[in-house]
Amino acid sequence: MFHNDQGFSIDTSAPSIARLSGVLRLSSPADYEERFEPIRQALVVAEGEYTIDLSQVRFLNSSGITSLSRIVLLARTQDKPLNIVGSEGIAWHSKTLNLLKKLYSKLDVRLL
Amino acid sequence: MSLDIAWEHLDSPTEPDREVVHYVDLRLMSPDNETRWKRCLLTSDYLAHFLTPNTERDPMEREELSIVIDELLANAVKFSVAPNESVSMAVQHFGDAIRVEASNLCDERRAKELVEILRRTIEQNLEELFVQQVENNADDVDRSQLGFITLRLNFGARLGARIREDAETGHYRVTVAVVLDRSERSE
Repeated sequence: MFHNDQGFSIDTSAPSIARLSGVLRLSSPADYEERFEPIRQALVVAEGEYTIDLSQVRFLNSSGITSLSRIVLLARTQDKPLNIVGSEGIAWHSKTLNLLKKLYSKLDVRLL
Repeated sequence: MSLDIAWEHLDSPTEPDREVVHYVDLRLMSPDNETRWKRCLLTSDYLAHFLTPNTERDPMEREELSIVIDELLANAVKFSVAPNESVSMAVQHFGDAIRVEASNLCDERRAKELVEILRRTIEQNLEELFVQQVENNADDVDRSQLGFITLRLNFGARLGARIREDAETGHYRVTVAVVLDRSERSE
């Protein structure tokens, strides 16, 4: 079974990078806000650029993509350079992550 | 109000009479919204497993299908006229294509809202719409409206809807369907 957030993890133990992995499907953007709050906090206090590594995230539903987009908007508000790392092998990464670049000129998306 | 939105695009243009391999038709009713949300995930997982008994061909296919079904089902629940109103799901697998259909009763305001969202998603430039919607969501922590957009953008889904007035209740029966056709996919 792979429903809900089984197998999903968020690691913000390093100061300038958040590593996410697995599949996450929560029912609303508000539910994601709570799960992503450590990332938002780490982004705000980071010195210099911040990186979000999604290369091991196989799926996020649309509410998750909405919340990820809100983190990009937060980086824009903070004028903080942001890197998002994805995977070339996961189709939605190249489509959606590259679109996020249109939100913020200091967002760099790299696909491994 | 009685209309179809891109409904005719849901038939396969190349092989309209491909044989149906798997078919499931469900009617779901739950006592409250929390139970409904939990059952959305269980139901989408179940249907994805049912449609892909063998995933050796593509290990991500089942997860992808579950996400698509969950988006449609969650949307039907969200737009339902009342928590205890039933929602219907039908999925069928024919050839390389899978058709997923979710149906619910809406009040007039929500039916009109849904029509507007669907029309935008089908008619406008998807990439521009995605960016515009993300910007629109900035001030509302609980708004997404990216479900249909990401179904088309990330999964290459064909999307359509049928809205009919329900004479018995005075509400509207809204059926939203997507077709995922592997023969049309561009990676």
